Amino acid sequence: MRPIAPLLLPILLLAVAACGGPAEAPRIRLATTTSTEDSGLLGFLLSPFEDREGVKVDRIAVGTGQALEISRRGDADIVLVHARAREDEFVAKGFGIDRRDVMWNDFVIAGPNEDPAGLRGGRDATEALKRIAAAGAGFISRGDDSGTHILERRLWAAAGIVPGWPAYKEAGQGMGNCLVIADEKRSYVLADRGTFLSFRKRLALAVLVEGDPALRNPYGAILVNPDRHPAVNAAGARKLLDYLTSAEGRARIAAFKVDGETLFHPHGGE
Amino acid sequence: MDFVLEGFLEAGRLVIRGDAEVFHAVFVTLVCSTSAVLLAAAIALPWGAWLGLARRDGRGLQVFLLRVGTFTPTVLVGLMVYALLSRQGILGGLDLLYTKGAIILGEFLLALPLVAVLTHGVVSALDPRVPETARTLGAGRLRVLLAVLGEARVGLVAACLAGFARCLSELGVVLLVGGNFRLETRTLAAQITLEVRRGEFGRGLAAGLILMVLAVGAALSAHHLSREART
Repeated sequence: MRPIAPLLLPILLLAVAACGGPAEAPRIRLATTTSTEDSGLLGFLLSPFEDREGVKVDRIAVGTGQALEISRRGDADIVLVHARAREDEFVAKGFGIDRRDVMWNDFVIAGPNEDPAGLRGGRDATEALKRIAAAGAGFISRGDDSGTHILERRLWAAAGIVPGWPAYKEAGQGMGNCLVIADEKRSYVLADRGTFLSFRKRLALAVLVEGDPALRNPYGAILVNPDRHPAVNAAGARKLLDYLTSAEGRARIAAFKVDGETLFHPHGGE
Repeated sequence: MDFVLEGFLEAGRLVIRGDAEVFHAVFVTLVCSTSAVLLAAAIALPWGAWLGLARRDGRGLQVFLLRVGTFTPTVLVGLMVYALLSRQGILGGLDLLYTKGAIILGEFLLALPLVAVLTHGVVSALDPRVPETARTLGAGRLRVLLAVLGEARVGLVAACLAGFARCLSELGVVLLVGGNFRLETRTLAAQITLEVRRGEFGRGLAAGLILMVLAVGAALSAHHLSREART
């Protein structure tokens, strides 16, 4: 064996040097859901703030449960999610402070064009779910305790149905994956409008039910409690929270469009 | 570190309570990985051995391609199998997408090159007198191959185990073509991913520990098999 240590040493040193990097710009760690990041909203909404403040907002786009969990552990400075009951619990337990309503987006019930349960044109989400259940039709559930899954469960509860027929599947995956699965299985699916639009071209699914106020999902922002986690960037996170709820931030949210359609509505506006 | 202890406790609770979701995930993991490796071995063992016996006659290209195959990311294999089984795919009519069959097909493709390459290595390193002796004793090609496989059995067990390990922990295939359906096509690796997404790190770790128990079981049986094979 030739000694390879003389070769390894410079490589090791390079690797260590690469990890250090230049003096870092201040960072704000935002834990949020995939829907805000995948739709492109965050890039559009945050870039004026980042430029003006000279900060970088690191987006950790994960499931709602995971976003709240890493925030509880102090691995994020601010969290933006859509699951009101879990947000309130997060604040009540002292993990977060100063929850504010930021915006809402809306959901649609999509399904195959042949529409076996006859939902097309309906506006009542609960009624639509009752028809799906009565027909025993295919339905792909997120099944991942995400904000969307929580909304779906709320709608089933409102319809007085415990879903469990064979064609009802819990996929445990993200919104995009569930849309692809629903398309393949010719099944119904509850999806946020943003993700649906970005997948629309590749799917043979149609929007069948929309416009029910029960299909609205509000997003809230919460600061991670600096008393619990002194290392968080509390000042930066507060600035970001102020921006999100400012007139400028609200106008930016309202101006964001995908394919000419508005996806997010600032809180209080229509 | 808080959720590490929780993970161990949760793993115990899940097993004692007989948690349906976890036990089903164990079942799916074992059924799919085992079937995939057995199918892969049926082809990869003779193929790899045949490649290992040859000396400079153009089989090098096959060995090279198999080696490249061992580097294929699992999601890429998943994506290719999805393209095959999708409604628009060539095999779309089989209605195999989002079934255990689809997972087995994907994992078979993952395990095949790995088991074949390792078999090739084991057989190449074998004493050349083994096939020669068999030939002088009047064995046909098939008999020579069988003699070589028998002689190399300790290494072949290890090759199959490596293929099994790749299937056990893979995620790209099970999510893409399995669909990760609860109580249908959800493996332990997929269960871990889901629990992390949910923010249930403790339950995720618990599912991981159960997966490690399967790994220990596989390693122990391989250990046992090769010890028996050596004597």
